Amino acid sequence: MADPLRATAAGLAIVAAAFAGWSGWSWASAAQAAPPASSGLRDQVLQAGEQAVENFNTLDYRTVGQGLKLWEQSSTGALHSEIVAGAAQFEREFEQARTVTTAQILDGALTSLSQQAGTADIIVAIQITVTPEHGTAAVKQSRLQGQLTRTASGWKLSALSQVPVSAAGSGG
Amino acid sequence: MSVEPSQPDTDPPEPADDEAQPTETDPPEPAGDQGRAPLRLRLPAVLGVATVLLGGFGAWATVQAHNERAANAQQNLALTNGPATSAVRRQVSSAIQAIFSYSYTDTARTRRDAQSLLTGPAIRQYDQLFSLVQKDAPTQKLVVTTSVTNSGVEFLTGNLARVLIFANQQDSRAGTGQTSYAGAMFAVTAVLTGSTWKISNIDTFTGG
Repeated sequence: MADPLRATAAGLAIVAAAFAGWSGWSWASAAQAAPPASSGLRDQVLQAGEQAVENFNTLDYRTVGQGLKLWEQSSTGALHSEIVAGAAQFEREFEQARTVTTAQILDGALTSLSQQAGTADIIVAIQITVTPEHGTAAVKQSRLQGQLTRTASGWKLSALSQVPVSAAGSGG
Repeated sequence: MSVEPSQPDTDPPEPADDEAQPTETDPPEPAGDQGRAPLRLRLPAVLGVATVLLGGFGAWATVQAHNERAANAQQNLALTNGPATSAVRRQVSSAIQAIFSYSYTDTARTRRDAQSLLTGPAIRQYDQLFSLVQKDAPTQKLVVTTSVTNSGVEFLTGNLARVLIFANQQDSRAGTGQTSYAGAMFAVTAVLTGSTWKISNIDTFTGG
């Protein structure tokens, strides 16, 4: 049965099958390594978070009502309750201060993201410019940390604070 | 192929006839001894088709795998790949703590140790920052301890990462017992060299 045609055909078929198997496996493993859908979520949450932080550091004494409305819209949970409860007092204070505050996000990153829990933590490096009615503007950089929570109308800030300068536990 | 038009395909070429069955008729016999003759040609034909199909699939899958890998290499894995994100965060944080912690008694050691944690433009950037330290630290008897309080990975591919770092610096002046604190923030670009992330760029947000 030494049939060269058959042997050659069989040999080629085996080589082709091995190649198909290998390349199929290679493709499958490459496809599996593809980033999960959470990659898009991360970008979306980071963007929403940075926008909310910027909103919270933007206020014009001539349109305080509008500004506070934006704060309310950008927040949820405890932070939201705080804004709503303090709105009248904030309004008085800001109108007295007569300053225009603008913010520029220098950089931002999520430090955690849980799709299941609908929560994320964000840190933001921000530059804040406070311009008084008369006089020169003051520029300062600030380090902020916030918590984001998923709501029916998108991801919103549920906490926002400055990162304290002193090491934890040691006052100063 | 056939030069003589008078001969149709029915007759196989002579050399192949030697050990074959005497007749190769077109319609295959349903069963029995005669079945072997068509099989002899049919099997290679089937194998040939299989070879072409498998080879075709293989080529296509290879192209797909290549495209997939090329796309993956550009994808941002920050947070979506937990272990890789943690690794770069940990290494960059500890590198920042190491290169910005020093004692006035031996600033040269910090500078020397930093060289293994830095690469590219960061070497020059660090030299600029640290030459000030080496000038001031001894006169002020400064001991500075830097600790990272927050870090977040913005961008991460196989060998490139960008990490935002918040750090606290505790400055002690020897002899005075005075301690002060300062906050710092850095956007760090890191590249994977071998199995370690090295800092290749430090942005302190002072550029304007």
